[in-house]
Amino acid sequence: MISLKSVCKEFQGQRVLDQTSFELNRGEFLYLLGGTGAGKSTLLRLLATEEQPSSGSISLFGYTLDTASKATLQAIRQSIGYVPQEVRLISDFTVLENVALSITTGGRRALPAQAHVRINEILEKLGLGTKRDRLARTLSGGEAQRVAVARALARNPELIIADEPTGAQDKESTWSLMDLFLKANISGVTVILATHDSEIVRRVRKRCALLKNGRMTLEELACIY
Amino acid sequence: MHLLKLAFRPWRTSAFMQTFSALGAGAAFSSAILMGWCSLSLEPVMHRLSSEQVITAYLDPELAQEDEGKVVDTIRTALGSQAVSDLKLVRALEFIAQVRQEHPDLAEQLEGLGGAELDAVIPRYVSVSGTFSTGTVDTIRAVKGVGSIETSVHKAASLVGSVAAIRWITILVSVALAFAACIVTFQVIKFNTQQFADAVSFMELMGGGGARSRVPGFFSGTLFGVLAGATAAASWYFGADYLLSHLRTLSPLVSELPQVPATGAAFAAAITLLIGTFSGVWAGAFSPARRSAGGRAWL
Ligand SMILES: Nc1ncnc2c1ncn2[C@@H]1O[C@H](COP(=O)(O)OP(=O)(O)OP(=O)(O)O)[C@@H](O)[C@H]1O
Ligand SMILES: [Mg+2]
Repeated sequence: MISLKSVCKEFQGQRVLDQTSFELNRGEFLYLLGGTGAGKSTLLRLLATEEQPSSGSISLFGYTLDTASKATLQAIRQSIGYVPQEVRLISDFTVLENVALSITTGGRRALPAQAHVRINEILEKLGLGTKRDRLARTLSGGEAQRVAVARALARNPELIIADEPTGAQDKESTWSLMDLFLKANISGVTVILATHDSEIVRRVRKRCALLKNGRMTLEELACIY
Repeated sequence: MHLLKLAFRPWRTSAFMQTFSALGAGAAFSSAILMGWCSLSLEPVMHRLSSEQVITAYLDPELAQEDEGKVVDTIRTALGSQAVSDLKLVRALEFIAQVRQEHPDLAEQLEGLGGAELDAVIPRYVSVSGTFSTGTVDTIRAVKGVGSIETSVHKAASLVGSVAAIRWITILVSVALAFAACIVTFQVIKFNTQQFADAVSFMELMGGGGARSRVPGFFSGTLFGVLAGATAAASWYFGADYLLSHLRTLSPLVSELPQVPATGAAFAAAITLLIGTFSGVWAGAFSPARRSAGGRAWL
């Protein structure tokens, strides 16, 4: 499903990821851990096909990104639900428009009826039911982050890449977010979640990957916290 | 719908800048085309001035009076299809009639000579005016019955120089205006695409198609082009004739410029719209959305 082979990423000579390799099977749930500046977001940007590695190769869904055609790359991207750390909502779109966009960018012109139902369900669940028509720039940090999660989930992805999606949430929202991620995972979606929140890792035990000095170590259990 | 909304983002954030840039670019494009049209229209004027001449072919004094008509006919045939505006035979009496208009005393004296003497003093000649090719003088010289020949070709030289100078100025102004208007258009559209680059790049990251992600840029460019094009057409329609009429009174050199064609308005609008749309497509293709923050991107 996901496979990294000796992936390096450098920024102006500074090596952030050093010979990182790992594999993740379909339907797995992985925590990506590591201190601030360890390179979690960098790794997730590579996986979300936003950036290219300096060296090494990445394959997603069985396609090696180096050799993938433009159409394949588009199809891969359409199967990913990505929650970037900086949220990146479109500021002058409403909450609903932002979420709907993740479905319509896949090439569909109009939103199918069941997608409407699904979007409403997710927004309700994340406590955004009444904020549907608010412009994204008027949302609080936590609200915006939840909209970004809703946007990633609404498109029914095969892979969820979430970069600290609970970073700006209180306890209650954290658990409703986690609940959605776990439900998606149970239905077969692969999830990679970068987090600093030790409580989540302790309470919901899953595989962990720890990034340190550009190297990654995989742990079968959450033995770090 | 979403894409259109993005295309209007620059209008929501900087409506005045968009409007005034479009008005400015439109007016500049229309002026550039007007100047270009002037330089094109001055070319035939210049050509006519530089090749228009009056050829005076003096007839051989020995030539019998009854052969005069034949010589005139030969000259007419020799000129062929060239643009002849006047061709006439001037005999002593006609010459005196011409002289009388300005110098009645001299005409009186000449008439006093009478007969053969008069013919000896006043040569007969054929005067041909029109626009002729370079070899024409020699052709007429070769006609039997023609003695000597004179041409006025160099009289217009200074006039031709002035028109040429005006023509160069119009070309320079035209090119400069068109260049400035293009730069303004490109810059505004580039600014516009930067306004929605964040959204476009995220849409591409979600798997949006390459063509779709250029739609906002395309719309933004076309919108600018429509506004600038309308301005260009309006300023041509209402301003070009007015400006030209003033130019004509300014100098007799450009007084021969024809009427400004009304189709110029449509032409100006079309060109301006095209440049707007093109710059939209161009800026969309090279927008910062295609360059990711962290270096190389899969785009
Ligand atoms: N575009 C860039 N140009 C230069 N350096 C960068 C760039 N992106 C990331 N870095 C550097 O790479 C390192 C890893 O950054 P990254 O954002 O991946 O950390 P992180 O593990 O996500 O940290 P955090 O937990 O604070 O989000 C940092 O030192 C950062 O300064
Ligand atoms: Mg990060």
